[in-house]
Amino acid sequence: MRALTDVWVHRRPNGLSYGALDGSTGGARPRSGDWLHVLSVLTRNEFRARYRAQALGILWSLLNPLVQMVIMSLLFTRVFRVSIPDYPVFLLIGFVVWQWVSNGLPQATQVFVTHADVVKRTVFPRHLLPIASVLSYGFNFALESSLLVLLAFVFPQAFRLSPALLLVPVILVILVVLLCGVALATSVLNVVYRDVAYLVSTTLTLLYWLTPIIYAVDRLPLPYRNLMLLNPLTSVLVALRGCLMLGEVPSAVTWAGMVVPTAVVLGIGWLVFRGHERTVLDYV
Amino acid sequence: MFSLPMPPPTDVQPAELIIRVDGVGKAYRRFEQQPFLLRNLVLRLLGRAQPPKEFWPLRNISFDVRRGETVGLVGQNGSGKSTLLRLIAGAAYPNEGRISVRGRIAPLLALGAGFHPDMTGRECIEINATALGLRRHEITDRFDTVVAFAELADFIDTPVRYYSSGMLARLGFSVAVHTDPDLLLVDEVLAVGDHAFQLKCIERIDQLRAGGTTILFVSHDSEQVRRLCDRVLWLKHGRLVWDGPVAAALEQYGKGA
Repeated sequence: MRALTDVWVHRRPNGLSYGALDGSTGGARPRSGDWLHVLSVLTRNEFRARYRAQALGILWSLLNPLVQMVIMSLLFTRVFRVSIPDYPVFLLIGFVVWQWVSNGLPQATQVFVTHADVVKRTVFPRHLLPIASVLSYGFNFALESSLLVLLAFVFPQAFRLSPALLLVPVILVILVVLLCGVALATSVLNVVYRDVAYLVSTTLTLLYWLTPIIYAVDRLPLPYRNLMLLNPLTSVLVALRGCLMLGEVPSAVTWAGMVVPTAVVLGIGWLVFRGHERTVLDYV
Repeated sequence: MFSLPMPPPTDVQPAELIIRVDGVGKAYRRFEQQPFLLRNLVLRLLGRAQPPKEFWPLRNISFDVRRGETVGLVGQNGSGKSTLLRLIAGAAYPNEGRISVRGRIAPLLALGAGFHPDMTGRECIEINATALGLRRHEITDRFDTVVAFAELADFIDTPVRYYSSGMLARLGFSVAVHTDPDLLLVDEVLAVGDHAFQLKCIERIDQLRAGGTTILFVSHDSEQVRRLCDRVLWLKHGRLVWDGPVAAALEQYGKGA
């Protein structure tokens, strides 16, 4: 008979443990699956499934930030006389990031509901689903960023080629971690309480105005400016624009404004997820 | 009524076991309304939150399964068979007791086996095989065998939302049985395929048994149970009422006892 592992998986009401049959723990975990591969397949599928129905589907994803940028920059430079330099570039960076937040989070919140079948009938680490959902919008982000490259030809003076550009991926990783942290919590809560999805979209509408997408933080009066730093997206945008448009390495305050709230959000998100993970399986 | 042929033999060494179910119970909450976060928070603040009603589809279940056994799980609809299988598969957690399993488990939990409708057959095979614990190169090696067994070569790049129920069942079964599982959990999946495919599945199950795979098998078909199983577990209203030889159990079960 084939060899069988000595490591047992025990499932009790309070969770999972590994060890010998008598319940003594300390055994090594059994060989786990290639979860990075599952994550990449899930991510790819999320993205592909989203645009499978429409032939030009992905173009819509490009059109939205482009139209917004054109309208807003005309409105604010011609009508309201905003004096932010290279305003179209400034706006597009904001919109492209915001697209990821505002499309990714609602989708990731619904992920256990839309994939109820998969969750009920297969066994894999559940946190991969909301993470894959967030990551799948990275494809959209990459495509939309190509607009920025195009814009670099129109407004060459708006961009600085500098070593600071190397920090852009780091900032994007922080953004992804932040979104995953939120999505972990909202996705499991949404299974039990279906109004979490509404809560998320309402909060996002509010957040749109509380994030310096169409305006610059440094034009705000000081008390508001400090308040804005509580929103990690503020620092993300400040850092990205600094790197791309000014060739500036983000300041210590900006780094702190990104990393600290992100760590807190991820911590809370993970705790909420762990707390509700097992209930989720019963509700979907 | 009859009594359980209990206690189970005590001379079994732990080394021979693959599943131990120890005093397991599963509770589900029942809601009159879909719960809403806001309403819940308000009610909790007002101190008027009512504990949700519970019902127990399974309670006080204990049994061991030895390596290489083929166990039939019988019982009426709603007796807790599927819940038990989900618990063993790890797709749910018990609310009482402990479930211990080891080795590579291939769960075939009802129709569809967890395929996302927008994925193509190819993607489903990839993702399910990975979830079942296969490495990437193992998947590549076995891909053609899986497709051929499922008889889906022409539709492998079609999204599974266009598959018939038989095609889905074939795909799910084919992936699961080609992962070299130590433990195969089959939940009535065989009822869907046509006769030819059922025969093929049973043949494959026989092969797996010969190779030492332990099988837990939910079925309403007494003939299949008689043909495949060494032992029957009979669930009734979430309790285990029989754990023992096949023939005697089926005789009682057939009478509708």
